[in-house]
Amino acid sequence: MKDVLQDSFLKIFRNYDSFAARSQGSLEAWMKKIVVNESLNFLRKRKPLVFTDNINDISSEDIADPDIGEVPFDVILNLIRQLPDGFRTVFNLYVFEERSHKDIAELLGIKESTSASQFFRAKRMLKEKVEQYKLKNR
Amino acid sequence: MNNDWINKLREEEQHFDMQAPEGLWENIQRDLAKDIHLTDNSNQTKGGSTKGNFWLKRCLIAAAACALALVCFKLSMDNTDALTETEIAKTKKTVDTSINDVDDKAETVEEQTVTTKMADTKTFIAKAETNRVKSVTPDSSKKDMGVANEPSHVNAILTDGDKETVTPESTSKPTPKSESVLLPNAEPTKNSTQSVPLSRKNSLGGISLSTQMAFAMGNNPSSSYVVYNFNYMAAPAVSSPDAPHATFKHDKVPVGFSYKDKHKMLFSLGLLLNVPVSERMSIDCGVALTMTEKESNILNGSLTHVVTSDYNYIGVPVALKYDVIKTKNLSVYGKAGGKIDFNYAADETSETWEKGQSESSKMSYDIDKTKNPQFSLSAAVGAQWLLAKHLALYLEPGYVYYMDNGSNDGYFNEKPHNFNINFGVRVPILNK
Repeated sequence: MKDVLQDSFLKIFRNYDSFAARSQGSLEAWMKKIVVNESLNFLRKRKPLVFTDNINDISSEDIADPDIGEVPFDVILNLIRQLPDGFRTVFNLYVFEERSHKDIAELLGIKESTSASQFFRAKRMLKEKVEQYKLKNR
Repeated sequence: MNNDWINKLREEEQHFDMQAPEGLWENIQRDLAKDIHLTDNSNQTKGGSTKGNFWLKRCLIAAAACALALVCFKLSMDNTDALTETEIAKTKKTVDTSINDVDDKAETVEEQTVTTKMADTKTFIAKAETNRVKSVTPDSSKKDMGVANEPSHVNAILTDGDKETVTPESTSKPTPKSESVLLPNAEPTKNSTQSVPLSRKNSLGGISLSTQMAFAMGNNPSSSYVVYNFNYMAAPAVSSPDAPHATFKHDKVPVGFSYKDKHKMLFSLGLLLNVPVSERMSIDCGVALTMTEKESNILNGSLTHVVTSDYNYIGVPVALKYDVIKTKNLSVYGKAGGKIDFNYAADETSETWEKGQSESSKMSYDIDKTKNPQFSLSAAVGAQWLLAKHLALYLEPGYVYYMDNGSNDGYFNEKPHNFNINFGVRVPILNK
């Protein structure tokens, strides 16, 4: 994570002049875009992301929302980090970057249905992890 | 789907702070500092490079100007040569007149000498006759011999004076070096000479083909490259005893000889540097080695001579190139320039076969180099198509005129006009 963050910031500082010259969009959005791209590049270099699931395989369990009511956010983040790369990537893009499945599909070079499938699987896995956490911390 | 949990996550993420990994900012600062250092160095290098280009361009322009000045000088020298030829003609006329005067005087002196000697001989014979009549002595045989010898001496004098049987070449002109090989058994007579005027202006070079491999230097693939040039030129053979010929260095060639000249393919190898002067204009400058070879076959009775003459040149081509059409991949250009070649080596190999003999005698020797530099003017149009970042194809038909350098040796003076087609690949090595 440190390397990705470092490379992202270096890129931000190095290209700030070009951003300022264009003066289009917000600085935060531009920075986010750079960090997301760097992260995706890092993931692709480390290990090719494999997405095999299809939306048709989604069960009712996958659709159920996790109950994150009283779980601290840093714990949630930690649990998200434990998700497989494919799940986590789609999950983060959808939840925190507020990307649509269409955008995610374009970014990752996958089908839109695959993106949705990955998200539901990730949500189900996160739900299980949250429940496990709750059981441990009663 | 209820998105409450997602909204909650997004909201919490907005207010979430996290400690940056240890050393992150230090590393970023260090890397940025490196960037600044590199940028400074790069700027310095660019400045140096710009300065270098500045001087390189001016050097090339100066070289082009020098080449142009040399061409002008050569042209003016050609005019001077013409004047000199007039002067020589006048001098020759004066000398001829003087020689005629001397000949007349010599004839007078000879006539007087002959008359005197004839008178002496007649006196001598008369005395001998008188002596023989007076008395026959044992020494009379010797005196008879003396009598017999004297007239022969007189005859010898008379024969030496008969200049009509000796050709001008054998008496007045030194035999050129190559001629000693070409004319070993010549029996020239006055009647066995014919005039063959030397005229380089009428001869025409052959179509030439060349290939080029170019390695580019600079930003512009179409106008910035270093050329590794293989240049093959095919010239048609000249084979006629009546053709203008440079093998014989004087203007009279004895008949009875059958000869044939054949120019082998001209081989040229060189490097060209192209430096852009403006967006569309650039200067080609470089160095080229050119090797020519001529084979002369001479039949002289039972002897066959094959004389191979090699002339090697080192030259500096300079040309101005202008891109008429310039797109991303295609450029159509015209170029014009000149070249100065210096003959740095010349040698000849002579091989002689005698009829009925299976073995030949062969000898190699250096011959006189062409002292005067060989100037040439060239013009060409060309098209270059960039296939890839570092690969371009080109086709470049052109014309070269080799100026008269006052020498009768070699390819250039026998083939002053040369049409050529250069084609090949160029590899721009610094194409951005």
